[in-house]
Amino acid sequence: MSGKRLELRTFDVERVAFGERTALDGRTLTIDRDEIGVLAASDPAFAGVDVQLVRPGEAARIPQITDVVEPRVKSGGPGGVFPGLLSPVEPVGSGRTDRLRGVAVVTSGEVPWLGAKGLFVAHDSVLDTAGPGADLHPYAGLHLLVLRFRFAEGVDHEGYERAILLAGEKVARALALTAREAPPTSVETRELGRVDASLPRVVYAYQVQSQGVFLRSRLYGRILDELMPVLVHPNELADGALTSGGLGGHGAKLHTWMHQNNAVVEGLIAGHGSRWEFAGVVVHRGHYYLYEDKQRVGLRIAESAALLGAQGAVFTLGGAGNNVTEVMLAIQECERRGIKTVLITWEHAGPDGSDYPLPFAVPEAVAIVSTGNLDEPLSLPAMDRVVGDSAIRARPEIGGVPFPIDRAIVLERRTFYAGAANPAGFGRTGSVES
Amino acid sequence: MSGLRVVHYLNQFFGRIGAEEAGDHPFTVREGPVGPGAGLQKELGDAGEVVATLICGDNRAATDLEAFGAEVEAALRAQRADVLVAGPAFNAGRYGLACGEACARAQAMGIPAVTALNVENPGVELYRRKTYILPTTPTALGMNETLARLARFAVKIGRREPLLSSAVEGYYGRGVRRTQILARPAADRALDMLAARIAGTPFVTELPLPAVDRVAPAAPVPDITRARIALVTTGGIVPKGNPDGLKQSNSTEWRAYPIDGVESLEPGRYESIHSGYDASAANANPNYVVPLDAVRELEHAHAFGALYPRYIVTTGVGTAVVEARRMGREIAADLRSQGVDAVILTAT
Amino acid sequence: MISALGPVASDLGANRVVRGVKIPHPCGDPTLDPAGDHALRVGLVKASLDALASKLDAARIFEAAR
Repeated sequence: MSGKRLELRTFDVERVAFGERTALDGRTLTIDRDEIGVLAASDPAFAGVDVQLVRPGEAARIPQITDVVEPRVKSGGPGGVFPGLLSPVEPVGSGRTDRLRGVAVVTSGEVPWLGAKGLFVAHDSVLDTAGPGADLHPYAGLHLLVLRFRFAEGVDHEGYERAILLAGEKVARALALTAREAPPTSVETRELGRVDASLPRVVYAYQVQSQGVFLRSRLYGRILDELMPVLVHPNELADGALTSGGLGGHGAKLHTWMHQNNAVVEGLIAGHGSRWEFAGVVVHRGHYYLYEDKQRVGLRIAESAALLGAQGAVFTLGGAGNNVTEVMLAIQECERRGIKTVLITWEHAGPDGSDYPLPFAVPEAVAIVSTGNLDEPLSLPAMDRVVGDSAIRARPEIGGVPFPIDRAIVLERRTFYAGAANPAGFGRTGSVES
Repeated sequence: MSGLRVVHYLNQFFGRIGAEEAGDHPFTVREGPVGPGAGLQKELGDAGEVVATLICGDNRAATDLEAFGAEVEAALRAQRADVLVAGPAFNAGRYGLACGEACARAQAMGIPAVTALNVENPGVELYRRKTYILPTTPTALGMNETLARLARFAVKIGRREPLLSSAVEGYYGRGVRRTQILARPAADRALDMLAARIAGTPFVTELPLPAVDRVAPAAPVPDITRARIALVTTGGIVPKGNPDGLKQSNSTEWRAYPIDGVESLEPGRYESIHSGYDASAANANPNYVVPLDAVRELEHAHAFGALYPRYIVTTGVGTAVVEARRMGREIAADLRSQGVDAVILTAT
Repeated sequence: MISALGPVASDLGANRVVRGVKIPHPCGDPTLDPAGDHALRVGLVKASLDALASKLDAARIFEAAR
């Protein structure tokens, strides 16, 4: 496999402060708060925005996260970051990309429910930057630029969703643009070049969520509701070809940051040429409502992997529930073709950890890495600061009940904590049987 | 620290009474250690004293575990036991059951207990959730090292020391899993596992999948034209406004709503509050999830006897199997008491 | 049990399973005209009654005549 060659320039940021202008000086990033606010809230879906900074080491609770985005911009070669959304539909993943490491843009806010009760509701969550919650997501060591939005009336869910997604991307790109003239901390060349013929070929079957509004990933800006599995080069992910679907909320959601920095992709790239040949990423969606469609997805993933000559495949999940069926069927089809599989998944072992852990499984799923039990309650101490309102909304199915978060809290399930399911394997969570 | 009062259970063979022919030997209590109990005492050292040995014939115990268990309880009380050690029973099936039952009774009384069985012993599956079971070799060739492990473990649990995971402490997992922060990220663990699988080198899955519970199919309804049928759903269809606040996921409750004289579920009067599927079709026509209009048509055509005048609902998404099982039992009992013969359950 | 995920239900222990249409509408098809949709639903309930009246030794998935 050859082709895309990406020069990824990393600019480490160690200090972030509000200042006169948005600029990067050495490892200090200053942000013009008003300018960023205007840029962030320019969409008429917003009534306004509050721009806040959370520094690593602070004990802050950020409620109602909608997305997290790493500042990146293309500084050479075709296309722009977040193609199809922020940038035109042009191929990405080659040329040169600048990224600020140590900073992330966090979009948040109380997204109006508009009377919705079931699936298509922006479920509220919390994210702590200190305490036991800090281990459950990849952002605790980062400077977080939190954009807390207020929402205008007369907009529908689709409008809110699109505005939020683009706002995060706009600000992320604007921050990365400050790196233009600066010297990078490190430069890495990413390409899947030729390897020794003795190395096994492996693929990554990357499931994303696409069920409807607030639960919709986008590839090159297009929603994936009708997607059949598709081959993507890992460098395309680095340039934001895949953007968040699960706006914040639920612990199993993948933020844009996780698509940009997917831990499985990073590990596969690191081992390319030494441990294996990384043959590509098969992006697919789960939650198809027809059983035959789940079978179709399972087959297409296996056939794609087989066509690529893969001997191994890693699977992760996008969202929770019956989407595990597509993955299990794909695992079955891969194993039948002699392709060895490994699945990373969380468990639904009930509050006391004794329940049957997965909604569905096949006997061929013999190699599973567990990221812990999402059904366990989670006790979180009070934080020094809440970057938002002092209560979030629980129970959309009865119209919403305030759940105060400006104190020590116990979440009924880890599901309500952003990042808790460790869906792309960043975290060190696991499950231990006693 | 004073020594623990250890009680030891053995079968008739290890209890030096007799072999197979003594399988019906009644429950007996002897003072001090017997047979392998001497080895156990040696391994315990000063930490514990084998104050008594309970002995029973394998057949006697296995044919009436209830009575056997009661005798164990009485003996443990009389001996003021701090901890019970049973066996080891290796691969002996009936002995394994007796050991498991004895330990389960002790645990239920608040007395820590441990036994040791080979992985093939049926006692493992039956009792591992109720007590601590250490693995053993298939035969008694492993007696000495097993006694050493039993002694160490007995002291630990007798002293009520906190235990680490089953893998670390060396007992069969009890099926209770807890989230922990491990040494390495999940992605790294997955890639190592993948490399091992491709190379054919050993690996250990982090999530062994337990067997699914199967139930034998119920006998068919003898005369469907006279059957009383009820509608049950896990699709979260409730009267509009969700008057009882049924949860949208992770359900622990079920509700019954009247449909007496109702020919069809009208949109606008019912809604779906289930958080796992797109509710637009169900809200536009709730019969898509609870097929009342079709059921009524067939009722009027005498395809079956009569429709129970309430439908039952809960929400399926994220609901724990243990809760679902309980709710299923409750619903079945409720419907049975109302003379219902069969259920049509719709899932989403 | 009527379920769109027939094989899943059957694998997980449901003995009498009738294949539903799709997860959000197991007992109907909004793409059909009302008469066709209603006939489909009646067919599913009929298949359910057949399943209830059938003697089974093992789990079985019943298809409604469509």
